[in-house]
Amino acid sequence: MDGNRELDGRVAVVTGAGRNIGRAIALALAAGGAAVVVNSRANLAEATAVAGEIEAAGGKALPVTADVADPAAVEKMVAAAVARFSRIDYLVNNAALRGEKRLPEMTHADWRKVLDVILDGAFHCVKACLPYLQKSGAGAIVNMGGLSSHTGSQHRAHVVAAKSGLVGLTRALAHDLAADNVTVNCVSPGLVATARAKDFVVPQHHAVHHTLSGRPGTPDDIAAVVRFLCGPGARFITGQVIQASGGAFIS
Amino acid sequence: MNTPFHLDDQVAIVTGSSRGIGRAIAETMAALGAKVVISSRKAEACEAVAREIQATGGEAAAVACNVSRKAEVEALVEATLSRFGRIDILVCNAAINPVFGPLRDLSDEAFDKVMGANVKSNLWLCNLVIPGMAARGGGSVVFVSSIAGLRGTDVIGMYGISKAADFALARNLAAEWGPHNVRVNCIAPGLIKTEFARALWENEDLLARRNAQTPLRRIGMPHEIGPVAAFLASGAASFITGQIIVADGGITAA
Repeated sequence: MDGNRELDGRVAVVTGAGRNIGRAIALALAAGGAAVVVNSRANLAEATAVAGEIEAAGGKALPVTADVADPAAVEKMVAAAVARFSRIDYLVNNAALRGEKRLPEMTHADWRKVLDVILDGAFHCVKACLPYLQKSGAGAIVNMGGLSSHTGSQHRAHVVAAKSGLVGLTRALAHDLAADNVTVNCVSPGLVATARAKDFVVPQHHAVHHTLSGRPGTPDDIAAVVRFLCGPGARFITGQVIQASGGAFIS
Repeated sequence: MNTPFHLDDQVAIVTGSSRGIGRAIAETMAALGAKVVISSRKAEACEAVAREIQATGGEAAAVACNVSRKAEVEALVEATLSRFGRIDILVCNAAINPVFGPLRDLSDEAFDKVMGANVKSNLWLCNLVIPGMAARGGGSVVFVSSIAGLRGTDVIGMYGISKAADFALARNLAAEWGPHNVRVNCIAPGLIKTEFARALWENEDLLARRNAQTPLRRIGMPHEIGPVAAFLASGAASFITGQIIVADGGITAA
């Protein structure tokens, strides 16, 4: 928290960083001084644009496409990150799919596809980054959860289960990595105004839960919380879920 | 400062800030640009901390206040407003923990004293300060609570009851004032190496057991809570309200 660049010399991997909250996280960590690996599943143009924004502001960034559901692709991404920046201090597991499907129509393939990205993807990224996080001396993993894993929601059994799984993964890894001084926390965003696909259906939990101010949050609101959790001000915080929801969910 | 954590020109009251966690919060906030009011029961202790902050280029004032006395709480707010003109951040950190032992031995007087100092005083301060924050477009309130409010212990039950009440107070104030952009949150520190908590860490056997139960294998230091409070007060936490941030080295996750 001292000065403006508390993450100077550090390296962050942010998955799903081509747009919206992931992009804001990449920009926020870069503003804090970290070099950022900007991951997108397949959209190199988006990842390159975000990396370009970081570099234009004087930062360091590497755009990398990799499907986090594919462990070999994740290994390659991490190898590219280390080849370029020589270390990894922070991993932000942000990549996600958020489909809606009525339970009678939800197939096991639908279920697997979502869990493969959100939960298995986080596992693959942790495993691939692990040796570098352990060497960091002040490592941090931030898993991006979601409001619906606390409130439940219609037509999202796969997403809710996957995001709740991330909370469990957070608590488990907090124990596994404490001895290496790697903190593991989860940020749970509430209603955030992001660019959505044209066919986006407002999920039930958005319709039911409202922020106290009536205004949605911004990606920057969420990114600042991630930057805090990575930085020197949060070294005694581990195993926690931080709700950034404008009071939409008060536990 | 061009970071989401800056507190440039924000006016902060930090109660119980002549030592320990409160002092660390005040020092962190001052370093981030806030004008801080140092407050505790003893004027001399407050003035010493304010002088140290001033010596490092920060802005600070000292106002003695026993938060159990309503007239002194009102005077603290009035003195802050007359000195700095407004209040943007309120950190309710002052607390007492005079009882060590089972609840069956607790006197009615001790119950009322702890609830008065640890809960009712927070409501007094909030009711005096929050309307002004709302009128100016927003503000941030932080209660320094404790993980003792999240789980039971066999020795500091009364303290735990009061700290759990602080969580409920924060949630309800968050719901009431959220529409006016006033955020109210709690920090729940674990065991921190302060004079206040000395009884819990000075015994080496107890400390060793505590460390073994904590994922980070150590108790915390005051300077590890200061930045958490500063974060909650800052724009970086603009979407966080009604929450408890646990900073305990992971012991309640264990």
